[in-house]
Amino acid sequence: MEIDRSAVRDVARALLSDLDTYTAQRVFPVGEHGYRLHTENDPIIYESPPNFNKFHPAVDMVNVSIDELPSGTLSQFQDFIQLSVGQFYMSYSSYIARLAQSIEEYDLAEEASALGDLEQNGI
Amino acid sequence: MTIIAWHKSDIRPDDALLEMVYKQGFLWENRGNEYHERLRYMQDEEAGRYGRLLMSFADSLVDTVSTITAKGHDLADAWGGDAGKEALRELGVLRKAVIDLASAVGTVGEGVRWFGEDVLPVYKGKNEPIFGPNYLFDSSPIWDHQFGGNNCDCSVVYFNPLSWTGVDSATCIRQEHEYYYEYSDIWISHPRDAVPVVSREDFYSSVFGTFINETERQAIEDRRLDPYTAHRLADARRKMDRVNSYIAQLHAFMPAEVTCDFPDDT
Repeated sequence: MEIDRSAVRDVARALLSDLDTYTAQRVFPVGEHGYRLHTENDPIIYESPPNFNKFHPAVDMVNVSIDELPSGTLSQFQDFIQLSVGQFYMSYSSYIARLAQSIEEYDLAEEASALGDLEQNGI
Repeated sequence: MTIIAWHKSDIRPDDALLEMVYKQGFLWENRGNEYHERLRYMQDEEAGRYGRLLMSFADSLVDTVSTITAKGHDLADAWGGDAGKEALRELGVLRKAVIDLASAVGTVGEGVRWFGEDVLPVYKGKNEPIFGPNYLFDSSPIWDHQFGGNNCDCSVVYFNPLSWTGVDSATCIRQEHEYYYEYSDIWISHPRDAVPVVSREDFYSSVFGTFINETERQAIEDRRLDPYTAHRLADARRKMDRVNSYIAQLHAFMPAEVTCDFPDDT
C-alpha cells in the first residue's frame, strides 16, 4: 500500500497545532527556588507547590525551610512534572518532525523542531 | 527510550508532639498558643490554585490523547507497510506516556484542590479572638478548683475602679479568686458565677482529654496552667490532629508510583 502524502501531512499538521496549544504555557520566568512562576498574563502550571509544613504534629507534604530547598512529596512531584512535561514536548515535536520528514515536508519538520527546542522556549 | 518515574516518598510523622511552647508577649497578640499560628502557615488558597492548575493541565493532556487517537486512525488509513506500522507504533508509545502523565497530574491535582479548598478553610482562622483572651466573655471553662481552695463564699462584689485597665482585676473583696499561673505567665481572676464552673475530670474525659498530657494535667492541678490556655491548646491540637489525618488521606489518594515512558527524540 502506498503512502497517502496529503493525508499524512494533514495528520502532522493536526498534531503540530495540538502541540502549539501548549506554547502559551511554556515561556515564563524562573522563581528563586527554581520553580517557574506564573505571570499576570500567562497562567502557568509551574508554580511552587503549596506549603503544608511548619506545624506540629505534622506529616511532611512540602518540607520547606528558609535554608533548604523544597523536599517534600509535592515538591518531588513538581520536579517530576517539570521533567516529564519537558520530555513530552520534545518527544511530541520530534515525532511530528520525523513524520513530516518522511513525506519530505521539510518546512513543517522545521516548524515542529522549533516547538521542541526547549531552550529557545525558555525551558 | 527515556523513562521518567516518580515514587511517592513516605510521609514522615512528626514526633515532636505536645511540646508545650507558650508564646510570650502582649495579651492582644494571641499569646499562649502557637498552634493556631501554625495552622495559619498552611497555604489553603495556594493549594487550591495549584490543584486547579494541575487539573487544567491534565485536561489539556487528555485533549492531546484524543487528538493523537483520532489522528492515529487517520495515519493507519493513509500509510501502510512496515514504515507506516513503525510510525503508528511510536505514536502509540507517545499516547501511552501522555495518558500516564495526564492520569498522575489529574489525580494529584484533584487531591490537592480538595485539601486546599474543602478541608483547610474549615480549620483555618475560625473563632480566633482578635484582641487576645477575654476571660469574662469567652466561653472557656473555669474549673472548680479555682474556687475550691479557700471556699470563698463572699457575696460582696469588689468594685474595682481600675478594672477597665485590666491591671487589677480582682473582683472579690477578699481577692481570693485571683491566681497567677506561672506556666502561662498570666494573672487570672473571675467574678463569681460569671463563667460556668466545670470539673477538671469532665475536661480530662472529654474529647480534649487525649490532647492534654500528664505534665500538663499536673500543671493544671498545681494551678500553674490556666484553664483558658489549656482549653485552647487542646482544641488547637485536636484540630491539628484532624488536619493531619486529612493530609494522610490526601497522601493515600496519590499514586505511589508513576512512570512516563516517552520515546526518545533521536
